Amino acid sequence: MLERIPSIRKAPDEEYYVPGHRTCAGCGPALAYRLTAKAAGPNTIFIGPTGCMYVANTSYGCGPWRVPWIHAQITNGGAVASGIEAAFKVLARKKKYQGEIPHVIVFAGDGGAVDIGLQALSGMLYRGHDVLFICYDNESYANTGIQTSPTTPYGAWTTFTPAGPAVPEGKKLFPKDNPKVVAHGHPELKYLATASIGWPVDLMNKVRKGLNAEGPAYLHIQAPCPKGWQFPPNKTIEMAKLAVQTGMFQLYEYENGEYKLSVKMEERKPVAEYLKLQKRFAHLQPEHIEKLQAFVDARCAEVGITVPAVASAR
Amino acid sequence: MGKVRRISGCVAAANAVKLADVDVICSYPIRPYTGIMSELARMVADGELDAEFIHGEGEHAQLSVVYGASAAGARTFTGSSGVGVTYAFEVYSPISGERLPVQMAIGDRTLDPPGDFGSEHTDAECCRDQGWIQGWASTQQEVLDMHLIYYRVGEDPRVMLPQFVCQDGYYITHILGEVDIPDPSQVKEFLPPYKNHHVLDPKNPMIIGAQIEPAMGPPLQYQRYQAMQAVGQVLREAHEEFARIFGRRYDPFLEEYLTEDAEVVIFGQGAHMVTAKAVAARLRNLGEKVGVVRLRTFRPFPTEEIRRRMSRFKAIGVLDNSVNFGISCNGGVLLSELRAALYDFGDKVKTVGFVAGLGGEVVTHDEFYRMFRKIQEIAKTGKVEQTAYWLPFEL
Amino acid sequence: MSTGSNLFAEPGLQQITVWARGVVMNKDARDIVVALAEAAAREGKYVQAWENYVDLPDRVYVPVRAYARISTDPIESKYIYENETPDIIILVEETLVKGVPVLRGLRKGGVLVVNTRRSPEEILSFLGDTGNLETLVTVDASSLSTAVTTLSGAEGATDATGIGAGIAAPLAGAVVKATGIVSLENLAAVVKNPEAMRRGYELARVTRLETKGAAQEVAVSAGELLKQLPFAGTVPSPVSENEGMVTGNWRMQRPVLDQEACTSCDTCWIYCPDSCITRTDEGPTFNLKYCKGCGICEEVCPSGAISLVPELNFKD
Ligand SMILES: Cc1ncc(C[n+]2csc(CCOP(=O)(O)OP(=O)(O)O)c2C)c(N)n1
Ligand code: SF4
Ligand code: SF4
Ligand code: SF4
Ligand SMILES: [Mg+2]
Repeated sequence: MLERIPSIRKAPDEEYYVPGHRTCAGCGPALAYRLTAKAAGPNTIFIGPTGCMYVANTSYGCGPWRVPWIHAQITNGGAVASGIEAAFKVLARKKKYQGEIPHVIVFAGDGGAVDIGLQALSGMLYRGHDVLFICYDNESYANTGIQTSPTTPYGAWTTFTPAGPAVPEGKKLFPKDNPKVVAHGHPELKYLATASIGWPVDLMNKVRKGLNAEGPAYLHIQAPCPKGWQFPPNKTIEMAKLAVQTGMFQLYEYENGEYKLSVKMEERKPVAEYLKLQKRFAHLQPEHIEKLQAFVDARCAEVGITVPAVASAR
Repeated sequence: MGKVRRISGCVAAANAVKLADVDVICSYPIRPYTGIMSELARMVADGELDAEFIHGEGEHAQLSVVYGASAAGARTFTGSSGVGVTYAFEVYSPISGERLPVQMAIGDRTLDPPGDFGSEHTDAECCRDQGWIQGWASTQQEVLDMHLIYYRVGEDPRVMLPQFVCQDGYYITHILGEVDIPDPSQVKEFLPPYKNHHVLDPKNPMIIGAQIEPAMGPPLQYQRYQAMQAVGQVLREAHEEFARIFGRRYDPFLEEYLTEDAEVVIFGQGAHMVTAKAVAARLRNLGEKVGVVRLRTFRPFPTEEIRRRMSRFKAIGVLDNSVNFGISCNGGVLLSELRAALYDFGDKVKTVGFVAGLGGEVVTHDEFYRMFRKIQEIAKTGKVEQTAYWLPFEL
Repeated sequence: MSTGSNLFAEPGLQQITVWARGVVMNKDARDIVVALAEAAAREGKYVQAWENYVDLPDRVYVPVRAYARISTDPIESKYIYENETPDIIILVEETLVKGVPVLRGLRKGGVLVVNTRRSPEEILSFLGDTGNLETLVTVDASSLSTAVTTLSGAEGATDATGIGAGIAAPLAGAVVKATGIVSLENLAAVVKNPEAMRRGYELARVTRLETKGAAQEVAVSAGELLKQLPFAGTVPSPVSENEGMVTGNWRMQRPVLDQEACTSCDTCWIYCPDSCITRTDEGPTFNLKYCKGCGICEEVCPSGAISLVPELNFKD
């Protein structure tokens, strides 16, 4: 059992995601990786589907993990993890493996979890493999140079949804809500939560809860991407916090059919305060922002965030 | 000696998997290989085999599951047919590239269209250059034996490559044949336990499958090439050992039938070669110098063996039971590759292709008869007027 | 059976290599090579401009390269995808002189153009052995224009924002001053900000140096790489740091601690994406071998105890 981490001060010193990786300066997903590895500890195996957290981390012929790591295709993180988990189970049973059964964690991007990798994720959850599947959500196909994915927000500029006179808002669709896709159709699922790199202790504890659960767990981590969202790299944490404070991203655990909110919100900031700091939204017109605000209000209500959006005084 | 039973190719394959004490199996249903998995599921349910039996959500998942399991140190098994084989295509190269000796049974089936369950080698042949050892059996006994031999060869430290064991759908998968099922103790002697070189283990952490710079491309690919190059010798040794322990001897590369003084032969692989042999025998009764050469190992293609042993014939007809639209010489892969292997003997030995049995249709005795006649004609005239014939339309 | 290099020599060919920082400046790097190539094409030259594929996908602050080739004759080395022996090297940002092997392969009589407000002497002090370098050009291009950050035009697509609106223009102007590789008029015709280009030309400070000559580097052969290659390329995990990707030279600004102000709250420590902060009783220490200078630690510190200082203010 991995114990609860009470505070930043009490978080373990040991790093299992060490310095030396080609991720962007200020990369949100890299921080998510570091916190995940720290929480999971030494008895862990990572599966890395193709995406920034594969390509940037393993350039070239090396990698920053102190625990075993194996590449998976962008398509098949869940299936590869299923095989690894099953192997340890049977090898231990047949006395071909001596030792503690390791934690198995898939660390997939939104493409590798929500889009092309969704089938493998769903299969893994359905079959009940004891694996923690983490989606680090940087809200685009980032490694290929920032293209829209199903989690890219409405109105975001990507290289596949550029704004132009014929398509003034850039991306026209609203994002797929993968935690909800996962939550409602997988009877073997043992733990489901969302997390943010803006709340590192909460994130690490959710990793631990997911690993402690005997069976499949899904953790959806929002991780801002300075390259793709087009903000300066020192603003990564601010962006993560604003996403939650505006309700663009909601932090919760889902247990027994109920959403348990992870941060208490006294007030909610309007999405405009978040959008204006990111160049990917620079082209939006007031009507687009209104449309997005209405969408966010509805999603917040769904999980029980009832405070209205109010512009802050400053 | 084990006991002789009359079983299908599917059940033969399942018995091999059980004898190999496989740890992780991943299934997905598609005719005609499905029976292998049903039989294994039964064995697991009845407690005859201790393995994780995972229902993949598709063939892509099947290959992905065994990729992970093999990297974690398990002996693995999967299988498929037809469009299932091609659906998994992405994962073949990662498996051979990470040098994971997983094994896959193929019960051949056409790709769609035609919507058809019949056998064609097109499915497995599509994957021919992905770094997998591939061979076709022609009897139910050979299916069982080939599965065991391929585990041993694939897991040899000099090789460490995945394997396809192919059997023609329906013909072998579904028809019963006499199979001598070996004793587990014999298998134990023949097949050492699977040992992965770079297993996933937190006590000895490794990074598997990192990105590289282009400069590392040539050496990495060359290393995989060298592994494939090593297969021939390891196959030879394995067949020797197999003959010693089980008393059944196969030529690892080419089965020659009535070839001793043959002037012309039919070359091909899989179930239909059984019919070809029967036709050759009848022609021998008429005093004609005809024979059959059956390819047993398709990958690596036994170029040297073919050059050494087949350049002595006057003419060779090549049966391709697959579609290869637009391929050189209008035949199939076997024709192209055989022609390429024998290129330097071009004046001495003539080759001609036959495409037959598509969609799983029978290749009849009469069709083989016509093929032999065509080859004989070429041997006599020394002229190849058409590089390949599609049966029954063109011959 | 290798042929001598002279057989393939292209005497009329000039190689131009631009170094920049990923994402925030790679558009400007691309603009410099495109602008010079377009201007040379107007003069009837054979040209080629492209980005270094191995440096892509670019990451924020990673050193990246863009290349141009300008030749009096058809370019036969078109698909040799790196400029192995540049004649002209341009640094879009000054800290690239520190810890990045920018002069590698430079040909005899080579030219280096640096965007900096610092003196040539100061820049030279960071370069160490200047080998074949004959001309150093310094120009404060950043004071004449601002870098354009855009994803448009990446991955071989069309750049919708135009060429030479940012600091590319004054830097290209400085190149012309030192080399005359194209005429100022032709360059002015292709950049969006010809005014900044002319100012770059005027302000560029040209320093002639004595060339010292450089030892020829011998690349590791493929055969040697094959011998060194572990099974399937699988490598052991690092023990404490990944020596295969040292990122300290990405840093343009260095975090510095004001110990007095620090309350040892560990906030900076928990948020560093690069695991570059160690917490001690005296507050955080920074692992400068890997710190990319992202500035998150400064930004999250509740007590204002960390400040970011330009990297070239430090000799180490
Ligand atoms: C089957 C397949 N299709 C496309 C790609 C190209 N590809 C490489 S990385 C990548 C982006 C992955 O996006 P995501 O999973 O969100 O991770 P990120 O790069 O954003 O971290 C894509 C599409 C691929 N590797 N494999
Ligand atoms: S593009 Fe985004 S996710 Fe990828 S390395 Fe850069 S910041 Fe990280
Ligand atoms: S600037 Fe600060 S947060 Fe960024 S890498 Fe350096 S130490 Fe870490
Ligand atoms: S965040 Fe600031 S106060 Fe806290 S430990 Fe770091 S430097 Fe000290
Ligand atoms: Mg993504």
